Amino acid sequence: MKSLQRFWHRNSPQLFLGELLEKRWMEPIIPFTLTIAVLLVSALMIPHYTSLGNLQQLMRSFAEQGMVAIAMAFSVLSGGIDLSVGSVFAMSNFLAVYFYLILGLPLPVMIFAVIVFGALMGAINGGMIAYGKTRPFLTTLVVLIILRGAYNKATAAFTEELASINSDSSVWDFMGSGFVFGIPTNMAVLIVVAVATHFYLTRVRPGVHIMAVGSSRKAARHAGVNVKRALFSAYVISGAITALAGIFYAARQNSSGTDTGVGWEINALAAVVLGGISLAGGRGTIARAMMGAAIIFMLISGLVQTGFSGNLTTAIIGIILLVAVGFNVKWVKNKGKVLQKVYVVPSWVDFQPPPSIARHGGTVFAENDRLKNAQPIALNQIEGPEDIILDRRDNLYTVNRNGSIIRFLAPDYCVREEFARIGGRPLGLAFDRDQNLLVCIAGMGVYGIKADRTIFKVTDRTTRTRTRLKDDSRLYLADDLDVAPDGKIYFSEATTRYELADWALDGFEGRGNGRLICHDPKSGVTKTVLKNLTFPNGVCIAHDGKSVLWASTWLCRVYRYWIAGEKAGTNELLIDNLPGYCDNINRSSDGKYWLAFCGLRSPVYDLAMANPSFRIRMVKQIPPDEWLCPGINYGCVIKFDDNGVVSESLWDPGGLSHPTITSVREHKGYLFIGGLENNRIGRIKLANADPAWEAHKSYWGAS
Amino acid sequence: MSFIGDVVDRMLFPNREIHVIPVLDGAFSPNQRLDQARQLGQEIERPDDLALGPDGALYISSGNAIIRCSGADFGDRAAFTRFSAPVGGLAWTGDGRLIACVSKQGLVALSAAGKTVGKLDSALGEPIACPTSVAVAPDGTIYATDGSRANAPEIWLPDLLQNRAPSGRLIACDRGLKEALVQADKLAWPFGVVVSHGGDEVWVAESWSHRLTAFSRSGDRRRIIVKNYSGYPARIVRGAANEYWMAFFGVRTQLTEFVLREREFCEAMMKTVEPDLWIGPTLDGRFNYREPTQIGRIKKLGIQKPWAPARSYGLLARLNSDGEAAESLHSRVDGRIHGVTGVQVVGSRVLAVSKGRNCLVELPSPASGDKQG
Repeated sequence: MKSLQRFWHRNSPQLFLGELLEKRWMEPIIPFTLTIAVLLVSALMIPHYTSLGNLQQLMRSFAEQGMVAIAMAFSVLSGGIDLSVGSVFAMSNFLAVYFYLILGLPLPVMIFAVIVFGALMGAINGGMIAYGKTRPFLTTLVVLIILRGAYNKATAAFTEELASINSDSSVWDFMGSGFVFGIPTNMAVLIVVAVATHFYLTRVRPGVHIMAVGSSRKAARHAGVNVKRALFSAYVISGAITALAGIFYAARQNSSGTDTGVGWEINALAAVVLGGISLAGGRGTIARAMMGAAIIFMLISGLVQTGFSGNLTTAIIGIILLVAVGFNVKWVKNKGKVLQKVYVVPSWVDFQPPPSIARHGGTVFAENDRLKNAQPIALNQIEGPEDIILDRRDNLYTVNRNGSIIRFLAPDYCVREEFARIGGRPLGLAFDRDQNLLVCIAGMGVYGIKADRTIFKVTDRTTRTRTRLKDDSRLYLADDLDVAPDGKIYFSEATTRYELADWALDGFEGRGNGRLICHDPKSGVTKTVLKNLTFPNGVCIAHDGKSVLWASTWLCRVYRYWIAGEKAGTNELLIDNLPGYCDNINRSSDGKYWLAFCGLRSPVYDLAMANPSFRIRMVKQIPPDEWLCPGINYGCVIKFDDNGVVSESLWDPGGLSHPTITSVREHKGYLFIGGLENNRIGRIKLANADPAWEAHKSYWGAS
Repeated sequence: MSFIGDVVDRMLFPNREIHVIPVLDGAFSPNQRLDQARQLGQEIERPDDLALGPDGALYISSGNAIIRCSGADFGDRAAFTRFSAPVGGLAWTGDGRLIACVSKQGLVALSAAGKTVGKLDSALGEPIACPTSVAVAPDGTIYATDGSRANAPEIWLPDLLQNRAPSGRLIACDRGLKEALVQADKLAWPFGVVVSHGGDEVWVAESWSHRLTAFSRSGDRRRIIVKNYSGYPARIVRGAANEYWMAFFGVRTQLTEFVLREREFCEAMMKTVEPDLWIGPTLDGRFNYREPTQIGRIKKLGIQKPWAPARSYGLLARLNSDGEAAESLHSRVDGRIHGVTGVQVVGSRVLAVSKGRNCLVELPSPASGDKQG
């Protein structure tokens, strides 16, 4: 029973839900579901609804409305509104008929002329809105009224001609009633237009500018976007697409009636809103506009086909719209909150009581004063030296939380200089054979800095887990690294579910979210070596170069992964049940390894880790600041050997100068101490250390 | 009527906490004024309560002993008397006797020389095993609070976490400690008692229900003055000008309230973990490597944020004649005067003992402290 519960908590479906909700494409889930629902209901209630003929008919009637919805989407996404689409559509329809069938202009000339007309109307809208700074609503309303008046006048003037239209052009007929691969021509054009506009808005610079202006006009201007031009272009495109819709409508109907395009701006607006495009602009996609348009269209046609009267249809649509829009607004607004509540999924971790750390507890972990008088280096000149490393000239390198690598010059480490600025949050450091400084950067990946300070990227992605919804190919939280004798870089990615700022949350969750990754600089290939590891943190190549030692922070364990010899490729547990949370591992001069504890275990927390449902309720009931977390306020340093035997520990009693210790490096008889949240680097003289030993020699020989 | 109101409230707002922790706001807005308090004399081992004697000296209960503090800043310390069990609340009677609350023994009356001259160990046949505080009315009647029927005063944290039905009592007895009555029963760890300035009411502060209640001395009328504090109230005393001073030995946290609801986890924690490391309020917040940590308590650049969820806290409030808080003095999470259990007004000075940090302090006068906090 217990093992079943364990299995459930370790593979909770909530994980999937959390990652699903995180996806951008989950935003239009409401309109998407509604589209499918309306389609299904119509298919069930209306006979022959899904027959090929009916579907083709539906698509043919839908295409122009879809185009007008796209046109409307453009203006709404730019942060405005275009009410004139209905009358621009009607006027274009009339002009197409007039130019082609009455004046007899050649077809391409007519299409060009009508589209130019639409664009011109858009230019009037856009010009006034963007350059005249008029209100979009009023401006487009005025254009709507004027054009509608003009349209009525024009159709009245040409009543006779319009009534006796007779077309014998096969191209014209193809436009009106032909098929492309079984799809009605106008629908095929709609698909092309939708795909093109989608790419335009998401991939092409002027289109992206429209979205940017819609999101935040001020921010867009600060970013150097020509706001006026972007706004202007949005209305011009809107007008041109509407004109295109008018042409196809003309080809289909061969006429221009008095009610053509009446109320289409309302339908288009409803479609856009129903699709979940924010009326405030900047948020939404063309696909959403299409979904909204499809819902409206299917509802209207479905209700008409089932025999509802026109007025009732309108009322029903209004009610459905109201409900759907209300629900959608709630969803878009609260999705983040829902995600927050479901994203953290505590797992089940069983702990044994750890060895005592009490001063007189008699264990090797007993508290002592060995770090008490650590000499502070760089006091208040550094923020968060997670890792430190020394080069062959004894200079000290460390990481700063602002994304730079800081160097303190030997011998007294008083001169501070910024060695390189990369960005992200640099963490683990290592030197390769050529004395390039390699650094793991949370949020970015693994980077290197040559001696001449040029920065190069080592890797920022690895193989993606195919069975996972979340794209984990990009490196989320590269933590620590080391270089094997053959030049391969082994590094840990602590978690793929949380940013560095939330690393304690990963501990609260306690699941295997991390990976051990290997990058081969020779081939340039990055490969995940081990996955589903619980916060793999410190990485160190063993003295013999045949295995990688890595520490699992939240499980308080050290593992050994063999990379050479007969056991190559196997992973084995080296030390279990440590009293602290392990961080970086580094070589020591006596053939052993230093291990930093970034935190110490608390019995209450251990108890909570074996009770995931308690922690789930905690997530739901109290705010994140109050959640229990691993005790990462105090740490210490221990030393262990290749057999996993811990031989000594070093403490700063009370954690006064070195509360959390994330890394220790031995160099020429001294031990340097770094901490993720500290304001200094500590240094102590080691009594029994080899005063000539330095890590670089240990790795790459004396040369 | 308020019950119906609560039911309606539950129906309209099903997710709302019934007894939610109030935000430290208004008169309770956080400040650092308690940290500006001046320590008087040497450290005192776990001082619990203090009382001003007729001889002008201050008597402080500390562990099993009562210490007599005299001199200008009460810096001259001398042992007054010693018991076989911890001593808590203290009060002097008008006729020059010191009434002390002794754990598991009840009320003990001492002469000015420190000799035991009277004793009250039970009320209505039930022993007073958990005497927490005592107050004397102008007519000589002695009022005492018995915290719980299950635990002694020093077992206060388990008593909170065991989440028992309230079993504390307010006991009234005559000046000779002969006849005792139970004035009120089923109180949730009453920790402070004071006779009101008018002399017609007894005010009782209950720690576990975080409230202040007034009981009329004649009759059994009761009136809730404040129904929900953000802290755990401790002792309350009369101040100058119809005011009162109230000490809070800690503040409530969401995590503690949550663990109190989680019975299974709470029982397991009490069974397997040593009490120092439990989730719950502590008096001292003394350093322990293995204490439970909360996300908000993670140090950033070596600094403990003052607004982090409090494991221990220092809080004192001045109440007006209606019992409403007029001002408060705080020692926040990063402060040094935590776990204040007793307060006393000595002339124009206000003194308090911090049981958590082992000291007697004089509060900054309102003029010297910045009121803005």
